[in-house]
Amino acid sequence: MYKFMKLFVAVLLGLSFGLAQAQPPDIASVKGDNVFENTFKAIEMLGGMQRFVQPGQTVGILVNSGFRNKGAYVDPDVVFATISMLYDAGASDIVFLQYIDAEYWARSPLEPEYRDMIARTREIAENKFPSVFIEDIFVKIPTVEGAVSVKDLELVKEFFEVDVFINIPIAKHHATTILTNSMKNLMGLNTRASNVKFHLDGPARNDPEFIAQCIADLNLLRKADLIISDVSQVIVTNGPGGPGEMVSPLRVVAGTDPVAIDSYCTLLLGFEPEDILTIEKGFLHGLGEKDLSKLKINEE
Amino acid sequence: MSKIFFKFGFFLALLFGPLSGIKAKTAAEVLPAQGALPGWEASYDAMAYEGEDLFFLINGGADLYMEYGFLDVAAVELNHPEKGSVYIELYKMDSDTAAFGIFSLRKGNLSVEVNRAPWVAYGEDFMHVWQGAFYMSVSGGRLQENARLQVFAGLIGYLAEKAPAENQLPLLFKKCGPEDSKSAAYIMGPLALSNIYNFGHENIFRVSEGVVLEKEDHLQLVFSYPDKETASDTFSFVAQLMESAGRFSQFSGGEGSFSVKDRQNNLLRVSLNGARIQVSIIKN
Repeated sequence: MYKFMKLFVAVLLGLSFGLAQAQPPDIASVKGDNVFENTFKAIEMLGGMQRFVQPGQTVGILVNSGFRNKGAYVDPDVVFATISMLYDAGASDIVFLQYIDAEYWARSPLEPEYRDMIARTREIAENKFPSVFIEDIFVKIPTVEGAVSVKDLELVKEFFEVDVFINIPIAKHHATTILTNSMKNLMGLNTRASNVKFHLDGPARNDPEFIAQCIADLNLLRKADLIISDVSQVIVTNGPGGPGEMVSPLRVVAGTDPVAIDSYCTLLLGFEPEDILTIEKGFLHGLGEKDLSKLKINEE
Repeated sequence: MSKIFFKFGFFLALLFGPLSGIKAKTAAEVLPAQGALPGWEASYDAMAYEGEDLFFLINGGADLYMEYGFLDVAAVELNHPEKGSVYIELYKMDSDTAAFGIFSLRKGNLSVEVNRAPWVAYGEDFMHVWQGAFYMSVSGGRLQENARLQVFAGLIGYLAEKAPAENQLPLLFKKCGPEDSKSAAYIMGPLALSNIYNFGHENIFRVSEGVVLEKEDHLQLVFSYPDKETASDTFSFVAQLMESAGRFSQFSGGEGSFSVKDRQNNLLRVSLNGARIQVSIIKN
């Protein structure tokens, strides 16, 4: 009987060990010169795009593309790789939730190859800086459940309607929040009037605590199903627009936990996680884990 | 009596006339827009914003202009059938030093062409211009390359004529050499400082005025305070914080100066000098 029990426990332990091995990581981080390939590898490490998108589903993508200086916008190759994987996984409709200038795509030499694929996508062209509220395009959110500071938001309506939401930020410097990455990128869904409230409605103008709280509150509305962060060549001063001092971690970082991804990318940029107030506020809201030692991180 | 009045009026006009003529002009009144350059047409009516409405022109970074002291801005795109287009933003700041500050920060490491006015920093296809209380940013990415210099010169000349001024550097620059003045950044608050070096989200140096100088082997930051006592209190606070904070290590030193290392292994030397605190950052 004792022998049988020992065997049973051993089998159980073996099974749980095997499961743990098969469990995808919380963060996949791929280093290399080829941003396009890095993006593919990072998603594969997470279990492939089919883990996030089922055939026939609609997908909303938010890309930080609205800046001109290198290191201030997501490398278009990250987006090319993502939509390629999405169509392969059977996505029926891909919509960019913010306007993307045609010139943005042309910054990549891969543009001619992916022109037709981009043409198949849609975009919320009305969500173009400085976007204003338009009925049918935006929706008013008077209160956010669990929010501390934010109220009376105006956001892109389709953000709530798509089956899958993919957030594609770039990790870079921002003068007020120090880091802008996955959590702050969601401000790209707001009308300008909503974003200005984050800057001006606090106890003081541009109060870092208030802005960070608003960003964490905003993230309560909907968690991204997938985050793909560009940390290849990024500015670490004079953000968010640059030009600024550049660092080259040459990484694409993917996962589903915005707090974890922001914490991890903070270190890649040489910043201190404790300085990034959005990380703490997001953690307190239960949006994710800030302690990287508690996470499974696969680096390549 | 009327003669005295006339003389007094003339005296006032002499005293304040040039000032009011220059200072009262808004950015929209000075902007090189329709008709500024022969053959160039504005693509649309110039946009103008005042105060906090700046957030509707700038996507990220408006807060920095606010920190320096922003009054109003005007922006336009000019088009030429053969030479392409150029985008101009003209900012009116609340003082010459504020305009110099934002110019010095925005130009980054670009070298500056110094005149009595304006000062100009040229990039590959853009330029930054400081003229009195105005800061002008010009993007010429869609200009024909051979037309760029000519167009830039035309815009500089237009601004100089419309808003004549003699550029005066902030008092903090009094002891700086001409080369230092050209490369320096002038900061007026924590947001600007965060663009240079990140001491965290708290304004530990309580900085409201400072200068950043690029030296051969290090970065020199000089923060200025209203008096010695404020500087000394701030220095003690910073020393205590850097000795105990986990982000800095190898604290050594004593009264009046100390050094620490940050997590990137950069050496920071901090010293108190009268009403100023100096920080030298020696990059690893």
